[in-house]
Amino acid sequence: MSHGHIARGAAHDLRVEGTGVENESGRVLLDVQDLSVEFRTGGGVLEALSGVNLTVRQGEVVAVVGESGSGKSVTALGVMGLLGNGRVSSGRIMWDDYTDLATARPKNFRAIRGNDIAMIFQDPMTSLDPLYTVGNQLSEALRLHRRMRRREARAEAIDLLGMVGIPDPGSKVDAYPHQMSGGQRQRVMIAIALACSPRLLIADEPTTALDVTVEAQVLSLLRDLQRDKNVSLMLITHDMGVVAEMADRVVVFYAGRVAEQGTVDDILQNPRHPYTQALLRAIPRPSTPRDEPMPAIAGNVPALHEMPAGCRFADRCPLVHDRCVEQPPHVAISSEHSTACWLATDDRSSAVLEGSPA
Amino acid sequence: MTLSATLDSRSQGQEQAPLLQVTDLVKHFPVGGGLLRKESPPVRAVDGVSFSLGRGETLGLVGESGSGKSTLGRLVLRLLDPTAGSVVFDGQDITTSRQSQVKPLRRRMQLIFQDPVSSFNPRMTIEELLLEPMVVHGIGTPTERKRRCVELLDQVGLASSALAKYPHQFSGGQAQRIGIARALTTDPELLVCDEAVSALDVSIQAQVLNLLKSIQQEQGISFLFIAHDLNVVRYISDRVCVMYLGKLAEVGGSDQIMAEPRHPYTQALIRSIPAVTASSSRVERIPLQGEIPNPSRPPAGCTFHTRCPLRFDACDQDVPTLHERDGSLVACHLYRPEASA
Amino acid sequence: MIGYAIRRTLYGLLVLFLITTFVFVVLRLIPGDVVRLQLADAPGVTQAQVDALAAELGLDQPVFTQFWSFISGAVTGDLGTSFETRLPVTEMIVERLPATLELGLLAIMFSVVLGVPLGIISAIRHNSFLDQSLRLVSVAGISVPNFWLALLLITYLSIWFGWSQPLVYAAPWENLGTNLAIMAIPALALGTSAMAAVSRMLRSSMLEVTQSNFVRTVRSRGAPERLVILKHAGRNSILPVFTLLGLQFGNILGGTVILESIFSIPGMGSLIFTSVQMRDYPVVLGCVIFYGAVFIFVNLLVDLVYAVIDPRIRYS
Ligand SMILES: Nc1ncnc2c1ncn2[C@@H]1O[C@H](COP(=O)(O)OP(=O)(O)OP(=O)(O)O)[C@@H](O)[C@H]1O
Ligand SMILES: Nc1ncnc2c1ncn2[C@@H]1O[C@H](COP(=O)(O)OP(=O)(O)OP(=O)(O)O)[C@@H](O)[C@H]1O
Ligand code: SF4
Ligand SMILES: [Mg+2]
Ligand SMILES: [Mg+2]
Repeated sequence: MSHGHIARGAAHDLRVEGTGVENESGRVLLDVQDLSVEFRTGGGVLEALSGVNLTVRQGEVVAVVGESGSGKSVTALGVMGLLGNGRVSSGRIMWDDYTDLATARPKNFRAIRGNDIAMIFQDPMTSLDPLYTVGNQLSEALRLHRRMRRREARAEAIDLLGMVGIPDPGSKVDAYPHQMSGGQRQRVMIAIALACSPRLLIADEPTTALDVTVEAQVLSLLRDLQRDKNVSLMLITHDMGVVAEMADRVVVFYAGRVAEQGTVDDILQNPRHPYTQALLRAIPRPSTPRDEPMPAIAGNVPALHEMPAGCRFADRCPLVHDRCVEQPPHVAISSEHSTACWLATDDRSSAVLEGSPA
Repeated sequence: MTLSATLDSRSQGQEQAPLLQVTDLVKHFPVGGGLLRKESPPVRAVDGVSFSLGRGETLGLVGESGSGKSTLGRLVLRLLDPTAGSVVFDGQDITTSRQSQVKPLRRRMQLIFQDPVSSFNPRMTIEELLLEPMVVHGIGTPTERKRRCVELLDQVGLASSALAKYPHQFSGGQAQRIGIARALTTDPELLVCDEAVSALDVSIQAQVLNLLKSIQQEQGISFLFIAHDLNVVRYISDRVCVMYLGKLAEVGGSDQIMAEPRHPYTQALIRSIPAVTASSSRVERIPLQGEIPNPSRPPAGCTFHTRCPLRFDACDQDVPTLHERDGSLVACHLYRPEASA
Repeated sequence: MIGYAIRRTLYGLLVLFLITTFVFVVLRLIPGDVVRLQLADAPGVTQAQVDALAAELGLDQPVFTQFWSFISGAVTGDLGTSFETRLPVTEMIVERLPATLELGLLAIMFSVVLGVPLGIISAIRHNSFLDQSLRLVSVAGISVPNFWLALLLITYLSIWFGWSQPLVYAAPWENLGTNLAIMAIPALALGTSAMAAVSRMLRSSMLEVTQSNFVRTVRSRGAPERLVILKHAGRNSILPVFTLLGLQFGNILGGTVILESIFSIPGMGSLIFTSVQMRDYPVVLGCVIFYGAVFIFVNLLVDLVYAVIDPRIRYS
């Protein structure tokens, strides 16, 4: 396993070298620019994303973390063009520098979906068709994109199931989704996503349903893929341990906006946004005292239809000041470690750093 | 905090009978065998599990994915009929009672799902979803019920504007909190939380854990807490059961099991916990070696022997049973009383 | 599953027995007497003649005995003898069965062949103008009485196209063209409400399925819409349609009574109609039991088809 460690270190150096936005360190594969998404509901139009910027470079692992309900899945679904009753209200989703996925026609999209970009969904229990065997659903992907014959596809499906660590793949290939545990279904989802060797894999909480040993297995599978085939990975997760283990860069979401983004060390060791700081404090650790309450963030995220005009974290922020309530904080898009917080641009930033966890 | 946790919930005082007593519980699922196909040996999802749970106690349940945790949770609530063994809830054996006798007990035990959205009727509003259990069990007057809905939503950190919405309009984490609110509507005494906090971000997870703890302190609810995040399980649980392939591998006090895991599988599990470290000190986790065995044809002897780094001769033939070792219970030949002598 | 089928069959037999008892009792309660009816035209009927006929028809026995002898016959497939024609009822049913069967199947086929695509189109283009108009048509289709629709069809077909139906019935093996020309309108009229119900049901279940997570997964694989709709959404949303068809089959059977009479189709429906008029109890009873049996059988079939389509359902 040590060679992996070296390879990872090298990738890290490369990326630090080029601190610009786009450069030779890896071309930008996915470039989400100022993306806003609205949902039409019975109660009117809700804006779930408001001006999100995010890039994923070739071969890079970008972790997306943040408050539940902050729009992580919606961003992913936007990239996949699977927003359902939602729509992109402004912004662009540039794929590989030439296609804007926000305005792509369904036909062009279909060629990219599954082939170039694949997605693993958050919800393993309901994301498989209950009426077909998992083998059938796997072979469907193989036959669609790799033009395999039925026989070949079945053999390949069994291989893939084995690869993601399903016991006895030869017989599980004929199992229906309801006959599998949550973790097994999640691995089937991963196998389906891998079926067509995509260039970008969007994984929405791929290991949430897995125990830590299987999680380690799946992550090492994803890492091999990223390393050997130079696949980019957009990894949505709540587990900071997974972030620390996998990510090159981290994007922190809060209430439909990006609160902070930077390298994994920037975010985990030197967080600047008060939300990120509070988030890191709330991680359960082996040393968390059991007889005290967990350090949660007081209060709740504002509802989508009553977002405040200023910083969206203002009413929960321990360091809130006048300016935060009046104006949304300004973000420098170009810098490698950017923070949507007035403290980052104002001189008070040093005060925050003292309060941040080591 | 007592460390001498064992199979019985002694920490809760010997004189009081446990709320839940599970004895030699077995659940086999038939495989294949439709009209045409031949039946192969059944999946042994749960294969002889015994434990007890005291009032106001939290028992953590961790283990390999597919080891039968959810199945065990559903057996405890009699949402599945066991193949063998018994579940005694508050002195009443619910394995043999008829469904009609189980129904009044349903109010006193609730399940919070791994996956809340799929268990909700997509056409019901959150208000209807929250009201339903109260109506079914005839709790309160309509105005009281309505007030309780708002109260519960507030308790789980959602605005009352959520009442008029539909399940698919919520993010995974929000939906999970609705699931918790729904389970609390009937004031249960036992709550089975099947990965209830897995989908939550850490700050809301912290909120929900605090919420569960405070409810427990106020109302004395017992939790059977199934989760994968061992740090979370350690935090919330008094004792922890570790499952492997349908059997209990180890049972012990939660701090003790994390600090000094005995069973080789528990050790592998705890070694696999990802740490939040800087990228420079990043080490790849070494996944447990070997294939996960087929649960229809579990290995002979110790079911873990195919992957165990410490296995020795006895392991391939003799099935290890749970033995006490320094307050923990371990099913491993390394800790057999005669071996330790 | 076989055990389930057996249990369901036994249960069906019980229901059939209850239906039989009910119909038997009701027929006795209808005013009018078959003996008087049959002898009505003959002048100077004596009481002796009346008694003789009653004895011949078995009507002099106590009701319970009559019931018992009917049941013991029915078990062996003997449904008694017609008061009117003196032929065995079973034989009459067998003779009339093909026409009714053809009519029923044509009606079901019509409702499926038209209802399914309309439902799919409505779901894919939901809330479009097309969907709205189809909804209107369906509501009309469900609420219009079928015999009235049939009369409307005959009238307007002859006014607009100068087309009229052949007057004499022909079995399909005698003259398929004539047969279909006669069957077309009643089958259309019979199947319309089922067709409308099928398309509505399919629309709503398909809408729900197309918004589900697994369909999203299929789309994320880049599957063409055809595959999404036909393979995944289709199979998942067809299940409630089967249940609906099973129930609609009852309506269709009921509708044959009037429609066959209007169109002079020699099927079981018109047989029931005339037999009721003639107080020919054994025939009415036999036909009703037969309809009941068919209905129960069809719905058992629906449940078994369910298990074939949906692997989560395993009857035991
Ligand atoms: N189909 C929809 N209709 C209306 N609102 C929606 C819909 N889908 C998502 N939303 C809203 O958009 C917001 C973002 O949801 P999203 O699923 O992206 O959250 P998330 O960051 O993935 O959270 P989690 O970590 O809990 O999965 C939420 O407030 C949610 O209620
Ligand atoms: N209805 C069923 N029919 C057949 N096999 C089943 C059924 N339900 C579960 N199983 C099998 O039983 C075993 C245990 O499943 P269970 O869902 O209890 O696992 P789990 O411990 O909850 O796993 P996870 O952590 O992945 O949720 C698995 O091997 C699964 O494939
Ligand atoms: S019994 Fe043997 S094989 Fe099983 S865990 Fe202990 S040492 Fe390993
Ligand atoms: Mg999400
Ligand atoms: Mg489970």
